[in-house]
Amino acid sequence: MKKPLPYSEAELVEKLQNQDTEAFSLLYDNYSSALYGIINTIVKDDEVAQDILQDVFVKIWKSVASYKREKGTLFTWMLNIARNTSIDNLRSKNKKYEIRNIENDVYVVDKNHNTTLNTDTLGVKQAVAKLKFEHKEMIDLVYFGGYTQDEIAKEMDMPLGTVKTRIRAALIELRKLFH
Amino acid sequence: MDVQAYISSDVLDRYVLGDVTEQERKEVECLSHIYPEIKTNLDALQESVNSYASFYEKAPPTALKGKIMAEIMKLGKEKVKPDAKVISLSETASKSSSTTYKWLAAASVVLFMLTAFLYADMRSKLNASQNETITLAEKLGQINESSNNQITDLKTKNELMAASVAIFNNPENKIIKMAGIEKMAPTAHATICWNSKTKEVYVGFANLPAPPTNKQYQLWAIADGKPVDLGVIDKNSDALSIQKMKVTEKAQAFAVTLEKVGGSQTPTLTAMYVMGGV
Repeated sequence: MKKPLPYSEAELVEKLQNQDTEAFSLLYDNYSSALYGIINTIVKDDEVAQDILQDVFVKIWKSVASYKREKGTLFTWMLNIARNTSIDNLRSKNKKYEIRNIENDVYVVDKNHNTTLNTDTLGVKQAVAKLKFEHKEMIDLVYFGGYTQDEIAKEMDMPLGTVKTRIRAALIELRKLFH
Repeated sequence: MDVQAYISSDVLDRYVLGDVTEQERKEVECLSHIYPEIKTNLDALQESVNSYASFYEKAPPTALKGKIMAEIMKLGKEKVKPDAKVISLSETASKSSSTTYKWLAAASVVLFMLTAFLYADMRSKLNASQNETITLAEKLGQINESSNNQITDLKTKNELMAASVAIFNNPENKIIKMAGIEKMAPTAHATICWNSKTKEVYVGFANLPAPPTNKQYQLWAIADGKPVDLGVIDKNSDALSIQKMKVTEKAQAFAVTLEKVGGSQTPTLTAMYVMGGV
């Protein structure tokens, strides 16, 4: 499924901005798994995740003209679209039913971690397993759960400083693991 | 500005995890543009988060791609209209310029953009339909040509048949059936029409084995015991065609032999295929 792109990211962007559907097909082949992964981890529902993935690719197609390289890589830009669309979906649903339970979210995110492990690199798998749970839990709540640091501190009855420290520690650990 | 303090604050952490206000987001993007140190730190953090997100990658169902591609193709055809930006008129413009002129200027810009868009849109539609028309016309031309060819073909065949029948029915013509020679081609046959007045000879309705490429059938009249060359039979001759040959005053018999292409001076009697007596 993943094939190396036959041209640079800059060329890919240029082709996409010229509405080249073939380039879009390549983009899909290369990034759909990563985007679907993050969407699925956030909304935790295959069907909803598929609808969101479709929305996300349509957004990418429509707004790639306004993408600027200085703001980050194409992948970062697409990940942000995927994350924001998923978090918006999560919030609108939660508003509707007024169920937002951080304990549940911690549990599900962690369960997700164990069940959706889908990487082909054993090294990465082991690396993420090495993350301290209390650190991982924090970034998962923010990144996949859409919580703010304040919300976490309040809900988990924890000083805001501790939340900040743990997030910083988690990011430093990630940096060591992936670089 | 204290760059180090900014880096060690939690704003970059929150930025890469998506936990910033709109104001903070703009600030980070702006400052990382100005200070390479901030940019380096931000990129490293972003890279870590991207790798972490990729860790959860999961292949979507294969059928989804087709659905999404179809949606994109549909959008592509509609041509996403670029947002028309209202260009604010320069503040240095003289105060005397009335709002009417400003409105007119703005309206003309919008009108121009709209016209340009409509023009481009119409051009592309026109081009597309022109291309389609050309393709259709070409196809039609091809069909016409091939059917014309077929009609011409049929007409020619029909005329030939009519001519054949006319020759065959002419009471002045003597019909001589030539039968296959037993050891060469027992089932072969051909017909001669010999005009008793003009002495013209026609050979036709032939059913002869297909000749090798370097050979051709030749018709002979046997007059007073001597062979008389009446010409070679057309290679494409078939059971429906009839061919005019040379004239012969006298003939007691007619025969066809297989000869070299173009014919021989004397018949190869060992290669006689059909023969018929008058």
